[in-house]
Amino acid sequence: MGIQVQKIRIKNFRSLQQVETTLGEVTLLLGANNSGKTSFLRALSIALNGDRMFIARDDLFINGEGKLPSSPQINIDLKIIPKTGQTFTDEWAQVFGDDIQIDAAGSEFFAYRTSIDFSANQPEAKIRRYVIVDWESDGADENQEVRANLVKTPLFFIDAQRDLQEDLKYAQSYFGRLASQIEYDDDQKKKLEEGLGSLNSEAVEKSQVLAHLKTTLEELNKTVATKGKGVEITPFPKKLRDLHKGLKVHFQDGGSETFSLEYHGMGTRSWASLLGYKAFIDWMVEKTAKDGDVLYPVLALEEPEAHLHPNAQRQVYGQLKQMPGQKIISTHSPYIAPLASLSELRLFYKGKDSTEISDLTSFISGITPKEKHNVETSIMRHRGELLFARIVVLFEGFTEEAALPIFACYHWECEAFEKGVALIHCGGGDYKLYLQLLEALHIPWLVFSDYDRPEIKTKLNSAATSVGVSDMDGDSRFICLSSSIEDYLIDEGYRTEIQEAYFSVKEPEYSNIAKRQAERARVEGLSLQEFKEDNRVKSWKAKMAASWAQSIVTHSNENKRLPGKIKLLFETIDQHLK
Amino acid sequence: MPRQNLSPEQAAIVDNWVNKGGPMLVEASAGSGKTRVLTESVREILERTPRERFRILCLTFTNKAADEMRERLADVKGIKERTFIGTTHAFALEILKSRRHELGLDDMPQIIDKEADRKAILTQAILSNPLLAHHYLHLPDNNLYDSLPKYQTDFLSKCLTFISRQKQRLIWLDEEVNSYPGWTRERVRMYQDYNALLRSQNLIDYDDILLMTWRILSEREAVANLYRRLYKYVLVDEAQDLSFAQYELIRTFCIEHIQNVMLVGDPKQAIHGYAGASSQFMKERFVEDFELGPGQQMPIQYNYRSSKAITSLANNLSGNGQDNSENYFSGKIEFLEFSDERNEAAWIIQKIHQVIGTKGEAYDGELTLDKIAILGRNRFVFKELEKALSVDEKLCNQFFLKRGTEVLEPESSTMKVFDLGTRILSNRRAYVYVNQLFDLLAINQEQCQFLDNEKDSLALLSSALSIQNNSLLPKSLSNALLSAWEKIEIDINKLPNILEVLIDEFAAINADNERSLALQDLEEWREAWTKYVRSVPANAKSMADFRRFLAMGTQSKKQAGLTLATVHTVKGLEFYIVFLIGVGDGTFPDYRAVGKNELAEERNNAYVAVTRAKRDLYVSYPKLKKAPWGTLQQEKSRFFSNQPFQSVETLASRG
Repeated sequence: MGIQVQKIRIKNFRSLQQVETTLGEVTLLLGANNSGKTSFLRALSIALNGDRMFIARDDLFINGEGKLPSSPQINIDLKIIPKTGQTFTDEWAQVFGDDIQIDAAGSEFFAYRTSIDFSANQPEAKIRRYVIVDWESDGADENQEVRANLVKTPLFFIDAQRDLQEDLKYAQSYFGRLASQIEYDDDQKKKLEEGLGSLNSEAVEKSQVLAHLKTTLEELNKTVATKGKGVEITPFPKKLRDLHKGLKVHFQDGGSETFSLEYHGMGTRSWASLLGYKAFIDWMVEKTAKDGDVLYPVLALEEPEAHLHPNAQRQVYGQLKQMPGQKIISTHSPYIAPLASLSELRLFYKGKDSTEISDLTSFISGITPKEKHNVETSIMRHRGELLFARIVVLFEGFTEEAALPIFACYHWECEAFEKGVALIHCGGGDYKLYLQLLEALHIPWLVFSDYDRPEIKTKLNSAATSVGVSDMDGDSRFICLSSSIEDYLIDEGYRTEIQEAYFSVKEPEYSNIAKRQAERARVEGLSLQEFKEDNRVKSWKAKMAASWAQSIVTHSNENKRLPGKIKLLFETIDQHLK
Repeated sequence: MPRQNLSPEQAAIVDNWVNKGGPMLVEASAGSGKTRVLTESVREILERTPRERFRILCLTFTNKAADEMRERLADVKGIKERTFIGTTHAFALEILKSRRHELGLDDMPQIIDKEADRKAILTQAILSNPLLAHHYLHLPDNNLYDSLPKYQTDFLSKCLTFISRQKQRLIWLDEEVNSYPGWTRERVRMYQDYNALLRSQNLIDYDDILLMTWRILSEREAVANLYRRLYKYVLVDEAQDLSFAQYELIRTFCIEHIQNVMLVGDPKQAIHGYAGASSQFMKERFVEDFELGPGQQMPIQYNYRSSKAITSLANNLSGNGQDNSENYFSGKIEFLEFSDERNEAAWIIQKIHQVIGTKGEAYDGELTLDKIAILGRNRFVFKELEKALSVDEKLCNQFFLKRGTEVLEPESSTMKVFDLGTRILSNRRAYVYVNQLFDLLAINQEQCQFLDNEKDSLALLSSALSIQNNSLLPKSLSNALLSAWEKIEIDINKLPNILEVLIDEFAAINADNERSLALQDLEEWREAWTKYVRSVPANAKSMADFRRFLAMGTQSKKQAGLTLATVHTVKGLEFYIVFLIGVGDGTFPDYRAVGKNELAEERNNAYVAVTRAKRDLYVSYPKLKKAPWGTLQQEKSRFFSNQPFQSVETLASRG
C-alpha cells in the first residue's frame, strides 16, 4: 500500500519517558501488565489520529522521585517511509506534500512531531504537529507546522474489552460504521420501507399482546397533546437507516442449532468483533481503491487472545496478519507470540523508573541462520512462556525439570509460573543461545547447573562469556552443583529419600517378591560411593525425581525440606522478584 | 465567484490546454481577459479531477494579483489544498523555508527588507576590507563629484545594483572562489564579503530568495523531483515581465518533468526591463526550451475592457490590430495641454467634481471615486495635484497615492523601537537591527559592547531600554514595550491583545504628533496581522515568520477613493475613467530613455497606461514643468504627437 510507519519515538508520555522503536508490517508488543504497552498504543493513536480525548496533565511522565519533567511537554514522533524504494508513489507524495524530507542518501520520508505542551499552566494542553527534518538529531523545526493530510493514515484502536454484541449497539463501532453504510437506491428504499411499515402494522395487529399494548399506550395521546402520530409500536426497524441497530448475527457452530450471537461465549464475541473490524477495513480499502484514493490503515490491537482457545488464538493471529495496513498488537499469549518472527517482537520492561523497549535486532544479527531457526522453532514454539516470564531459570537435566517445580511449589505455596518464574530445561548445549536471547529480551535469568561433566563445563563457560560474565563463581546468577543433583543430594544426606524413590519406581516391575527383596537388600547394602555409581539406580534417574522431591518437601525435619543449593536458588529468585 | 462565461476565443484556449496539456504560450493583449483564461483553466482542471491530489502552481506578478485570483476561485472545491497561487518569490520562499537545510541553513533567515539596511551591511563589508575601503574613502580624481558624501552614496548604490544584478544572473560564488570571469578582484571580494555578512547575521536579500531556491532545485535533484511530483500544472501570469532568474527557476523546475506549462503575457506591456525583465524569455526561450509546436502559441486579441475610442488609441500606440468591433461603448478621449502643472491639476479636479455621481450603463451604475484613476509616468508629476487635492473641500481625504510593494515602515519613534525589537526577537544574530536600535536610543560605543554580550534577545532589549541616553521613551512606555515583547515571546497568537494594550499605553504619549503617528503605525500592524493569520496554518505562527510575511510586502491596505498611481503600479487594474497626466516629452518617455529598447519599453508604458481605461480617457501635459533645478519648457509626448491637443486655461496665470 505504498507506505509504512517505520519509527516511533515517545517522550514523557505516562511511563514512557524516552523510548524509540521501529515498527514492521506486524509488530507484537510483549511485556508484563503495566509495562507501558497500552500507553504505547495510545501514543500512536494520538500521533496518527490527533485524539485529544486521551490527553490530560496526568499523562505527563513522573519520575521515581515523583517529579514532572523540567519542560512539561509530551512529544510523539513518527517517521513514515515509502514501502519500497527511495521515493513515495505520486499519490502518497501528493498526500504528504512538501512536508516530505529527503535524507542524505536521497531517500524520502515524512516525519512529524506531535507535541503536547502543558507549560502554559492551563488545563487544556497546547497540541501542535510539526515537521521533523532530521530524525536522528531528535530535533524538529517548531516553525514548520505539518500541512500534510493525515486522514489517509487512520489508526484503529481495538482495546481488550471488545465485544461484538456491544459493537452492534453502537454506531461508533466498526461494525456499526460498516452496517450504517448499507446502501439502497431511492426506489429500493421506498419499497423496503413500505414493506417494513406493513410488516410492523401486521405484526401488531396479529399479536393480541401488541395490539393490547398499543391500545393502552394510545391513552398517552389523550393526555399529551401531540401533533404527530403519537404512539407507535414497531417490532421491526421502521427506517432503513436504523437497520443496523436491529442487526443480529447468527452463528452456527458445527452441527448444533444456529444461535444468535448473544448466546455465544465471550471468546466468539470478541473474535467476531475483530472480524467486524476486518470487514470494515477491507471494505474501506476496497472503496478507496475504487475511488482512485489511497488509505493506509494502522491497527492498534490489545490482546487478540482474549477469551480464546489456544488453537483459536493461533487462527486469529493468522487472520490478523492478512489484514491490510500495519498491525501493532499487544499480547500475553504464549501461543501467539511464537508465531511471529523474531524481528517482529518488541519487549516492554521497566527500566530504572520508566519503560524501556527492546527488540531483537542485534541478537538476530549475532547468531547464525541455523541458530535463528532453532530459536524460532524449538525455543519459541515450545518455550513460548519464557517471553512472558519475570525471571527464567535455566538448567540442563530432566531430573531438574521434574523436581524443581515441586520444590518451587513448596517454597512459594503456588506454582512457579504464578510467580512469573519460568523453569526451563535447555539441552546443555543451548545455554548460550538461551542466555543471549534472554539478555536481548531484558528478561532476568538464573542458571542452575550440575556443572559436572567436562562438556557441560565448557559449554556453560562459553555461554557465560558470551553474555559478558567472566567469573561465574562471583556471579550469583550461576548456581552450580559441581556434581549431578542426585550425588549432591546424597552428599547432603538425602540418600534415604532417593533410595525410596528408586524402590517406588523400580519395585512395581518385579512380580517376584524374592527378587524385589533381593534388590532392596542389594541397594541398601551399597556404600555411599557405590550407591552414587550404581548403574541400575542411575538408569531410573529421570523417573524417580518427582518421587524423591515429594519426599524431601515433606521431610519430618522442616529445615531439611529444601536442600541448601535449591534454597539458595529460590532465595536468589526472590531477590530478583522484589 | 461562480464559473465565468468565456468568449469563444478564450474558451478555445482553455479547452485546448485542459484537454491536451503540454506547453502553451498565450499572447494576450490588454483587456482581452487573460486573467479569466488563467482562472478558468485552473477551475476546469480542478473540477475535472475531483479525486486527484496533484497541485497547480499559479505564478502571478504581484501579491494583489494572487489575492484576486484566489478570490475568483474561492468557490472551487480543493482550491486551498490543490493550488499554490502567489508570486515567484513567494513560491521560492516556501521551498526555501522547508528545504533550507540543503544549503546548510539551520534557522530560516530573515529577509532584509529595506534598501538602507542593505547599504549598512555593504558599508560594513567595504570598510572591513582595506582593498575596498580605499575606493570608498577617497574621492576619485575624475571631478565628477563635488563632495565625498555624494560620491559615497552613489558608490554604494552602484555596488548594490551590481550585487543585485549578479544575483539575478544566478551567480553564486563559494567562499573559496577567488575569481570570476570578467570581474575585478575587488568585485569578487565585495560580492563575497557582502554575502558572508548577510549569512553571519542570518539574513537574506530579495534576490537571494530566487538564487538560493534555484540552487536547491538545480543541485538537489531529489528535492526538485519531490516538488515536480506535487505539481502537474504550472501557469505563469504577466510572463512578459519575467526576469532571467524567475524564468530560469521556472525552467529548472519544469523542464522534462512538468509538461503542462502555460505562460500568459503581452509583450506590448513589458515595462520592467530596467529591473532585468524581458519578454524574450516568454517569446523565445520558452518556445525553444519547451519545444512549442504549432497550435501551442495562441493569441487572444479581442479587447473586452475598453471602449472603441480607447482601443483604437491603444492600437495606434502598439501597432496591434486589436479588434473591439462589438464593444458596446464608444467612449471618449480628450487631449489637453495646460500652461503649467497647477492649471493641469485645477482642471482635473474640476472635471472630477463635474463627473462624479453621474449615473449610467457606461459606468456600471453611479460613477464613484474608486472608478477613477489619475496615472503618471513617475511620482513627481503628482506634486501639484496632491497639493491641490489636499485643499479641496470634497476630495481632501478621498484620494491616495498608490505605492508599489509596501513594506511596513513605522514612522513614530516609539513604534520604530517596537519594530526593531520584534526584528531582534526573531533574529538575535542580525546586528544590523541591534545597531539601529542602539543608534535610536543613543547608546554609546562602550555600552554597546557591554550589551552585545547579552545573548538573550529579551534581556538585550531590556538593558538597552534601561540605559537609553536620550530619554527617547519615558519609563512607562519602555515598560509597556518590554512587556509586549515578553508576551510575544510567550505566545504570538495573543498579538491582537498585546497591541490593544499598547494602544492604551500610547494614549499617554505627550507629544501630539508622536502620539498620532504611533497609533497610526500600530493600526498598520494590526491590519497586517489580520492578513497574516489568514495566510498561515493556525499553529505555524511565529514572530520570525510574521516578519518574513511583512518583508514580502504581502500586506496591502485596502484603500478607498480616488487612485493616484504610476503606470508601474497599476498592472492588471482597470478604471472607468483614467486621467493620464504629465505626458510631456522627457517625462513620458523619460528623458533617460534613449536606446531603442528603452524607448520601446516607454511606449509599452504608454500602452499600459492607456489600456487601463474602460470608457473615458483624458491625456494631458503642462507646457511648463517645475524641476528642482528650475522651470522647464516641454513639448507634448512623441507618443501622442499626432493627436489634437486642446489648450485649456483654468486659472488666471500669475506671473
